[in-house]
Amino acid sequence: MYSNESWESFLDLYTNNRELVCKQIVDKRKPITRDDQFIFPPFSEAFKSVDIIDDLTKCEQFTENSLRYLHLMAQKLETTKKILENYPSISPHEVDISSYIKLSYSFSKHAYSSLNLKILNVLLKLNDKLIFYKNSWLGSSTEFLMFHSLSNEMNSIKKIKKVL
Amino acid sequence: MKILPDLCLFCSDSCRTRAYLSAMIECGLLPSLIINLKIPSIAEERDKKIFETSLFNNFLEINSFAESHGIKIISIETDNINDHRIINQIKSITQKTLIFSIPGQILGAAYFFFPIRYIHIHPGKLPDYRGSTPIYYSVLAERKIEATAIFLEKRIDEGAIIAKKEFPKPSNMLTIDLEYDPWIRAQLLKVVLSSLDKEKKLHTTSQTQIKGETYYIIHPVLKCLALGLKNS
Repeated sequence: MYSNESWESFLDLYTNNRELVCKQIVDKRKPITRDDQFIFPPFSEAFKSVDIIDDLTKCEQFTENSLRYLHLMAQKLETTKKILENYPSISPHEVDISSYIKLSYSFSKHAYSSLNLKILNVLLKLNDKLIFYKNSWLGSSTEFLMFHSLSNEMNSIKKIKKVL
Repeated sequence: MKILPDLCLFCSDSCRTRAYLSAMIECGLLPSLIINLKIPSIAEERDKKIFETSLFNNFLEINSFAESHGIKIISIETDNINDHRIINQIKSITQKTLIFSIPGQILGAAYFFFPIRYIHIHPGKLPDYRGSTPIYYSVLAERKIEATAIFLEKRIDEGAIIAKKEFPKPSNMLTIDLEYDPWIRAQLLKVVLSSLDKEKKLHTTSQTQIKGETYYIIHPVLKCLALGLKNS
């Protein structure tokens, strides 16, 4: 996506690319979140199912516990490029791309509200990959989450630019 | 020039190593042994570009440096830093303090089974900025650049702290990777070498295990922001 670009033109390329993808998304409805206290399983269960990601997507605000999971997911993705420890036996090759989109949206909510650089960093990397595979999710039931993830990501970058 | 009998430079050909050699000349303190690894890696390939910089002598050649100062040099070709040949070589030397200068490589657990200390200069404030590309994260979060000298341990960037130093941002931020980063490390190395020469024993502070953050290689967009680049 960014190959052979000079540092000076890099941000233009990034912004144009992200805006183009946002324009291609039809469903832009706002995700529904809840302010429930989600009960998360013990850490040892963290990477065994995508259920935690569903709960993180629905969180209105992250609690201390849900944030620990979010950071754990970020670390897992940075180090292994995966979100689960063992992939379900019925689908040994890939976890559905919608789980990655949900995680991306969860990261983006926190990145925008906190400007946490670790989360923003993993969000940028994850969204690069999701954009590469955009034909797999454009028009799907999770494309609206991707729209909001990209919007949150770009707004986080704008916020940082203002602060610097 | 003074040769420190207990000191060895464990390096590969890179901008960092050339900055370290320049710093050693500047402070007049040299190692008594150089172990030079020829190891193919992305970092090494990138660092092989030799260009002029005002910060250090980037044309220094490791073999010529050793020869001109009468320093023994051992060169090893390998594709794996944790190759048992290298570990056995390190185990057999008499020097007990090694300066580590091999970009992009991590010492495996086997290196820590014998009484040798590895000095590493990390281009970020520890324990706050552990991991990769700390300079950029530090600039984004605090607008500061700092380097920390540590003794390496099995756990990455968690070794005891020998010294810290803060540096101004460079006038040209685009020089960070290949010039400013090696230079700040080399400046702190001079402080460490001077302490090693004067006090023989380096005083350290342990890192608290709770405090601290580990960062991963920075995304180019964040790097651009740290470099101060803007959209047109």
